[in-house]
Amino acid sequence: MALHFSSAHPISALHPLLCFFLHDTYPEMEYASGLQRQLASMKKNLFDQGYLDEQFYQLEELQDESSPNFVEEVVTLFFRDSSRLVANIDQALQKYPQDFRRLDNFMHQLKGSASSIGAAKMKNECTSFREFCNKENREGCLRSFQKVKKEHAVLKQKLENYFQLLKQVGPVDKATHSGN
Amino acid sequence: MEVVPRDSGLIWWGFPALYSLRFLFLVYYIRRPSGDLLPLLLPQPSLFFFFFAMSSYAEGRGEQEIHVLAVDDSSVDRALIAKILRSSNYRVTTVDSGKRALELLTLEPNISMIITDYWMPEMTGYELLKSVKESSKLREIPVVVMSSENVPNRINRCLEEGAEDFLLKPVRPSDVSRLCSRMR
Repeated sequence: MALHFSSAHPISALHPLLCFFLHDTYPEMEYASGLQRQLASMKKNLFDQGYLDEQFYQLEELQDESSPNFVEEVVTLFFRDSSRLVANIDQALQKYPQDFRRLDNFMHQLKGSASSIGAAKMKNECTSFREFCNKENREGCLRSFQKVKKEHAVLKQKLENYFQLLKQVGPVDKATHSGN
Repeated sequence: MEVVPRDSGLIWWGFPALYSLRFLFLVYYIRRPSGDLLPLLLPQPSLFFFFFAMSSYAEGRGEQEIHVLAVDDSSVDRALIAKILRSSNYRVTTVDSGKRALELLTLEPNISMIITDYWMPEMTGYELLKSVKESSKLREIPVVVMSSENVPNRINRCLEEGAEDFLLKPVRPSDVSRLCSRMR
């Protein structure tokens, strides 16, 4: 608002009303809707760039009053498990001779959890890794695993940013999320 | 049965052991100026208690909670399946292995359905299914198997062993809602 009034001036009490009649909006709402726009575009990017897929919407659909932070809780569980699995795979890759079956088991678990939260890019990298594993191609596994680790780190950062922004915006109306 | 008249007040009346229920009827009279007693029909508190007790009894018998046992070694998948089931108002217990599932089944008599992951370390979902179907105590419980892999041989093997259904992961609410009619 271009108007400046000292807070002691009686007309400052009318400021919100003036904003409403002149701009058809409340200042606090404008700020909030800016954050909401930011959140919506962040989310759209996550989907457009293939980091997340349809399954993430399924998680959001399950969130309700009885578990208002369900999505964040599940994602936290995922990163707890996936960090452990990534460390296990790292260790297993150091060993000679290579136990490909064990590697495949770990990667199967990682892929499964990634798929359950809708982490599309991670899921795809896990699939590539398993293909190299089936062919017992150690070099291929090592290269593929670097990609898996990278996707894991990138997704973790992006989702952390997303949930932080989500907290600032507050509960988002289900009807407004894109894709429906 | 003894009726004791009182001046414009209550008369107590009790029926002895009628189907081991006793109703205390309160009978009200008013004494008219002419001197005679006029009976009044007023609501009976004892009958309120009777109907309340009967409805609680009927409610208790009608609504037996459906208790589902979910078995999965992945904490993410456990959280997901539990949430989907609880959204349909089922009571859910989750365990992380076939071994723990069997332990729980010996203690908990009223499981309406078992939903299990296929690939688990130590005991696979198929082995759990077999154990359940081979047990005389547990074989009536419907077992549903979930897997992230669409392997027709695996699916057929499970169905032949007596699995109620086979779900592909990630599981959705629509998959679970079609199971509700098969719950015990």
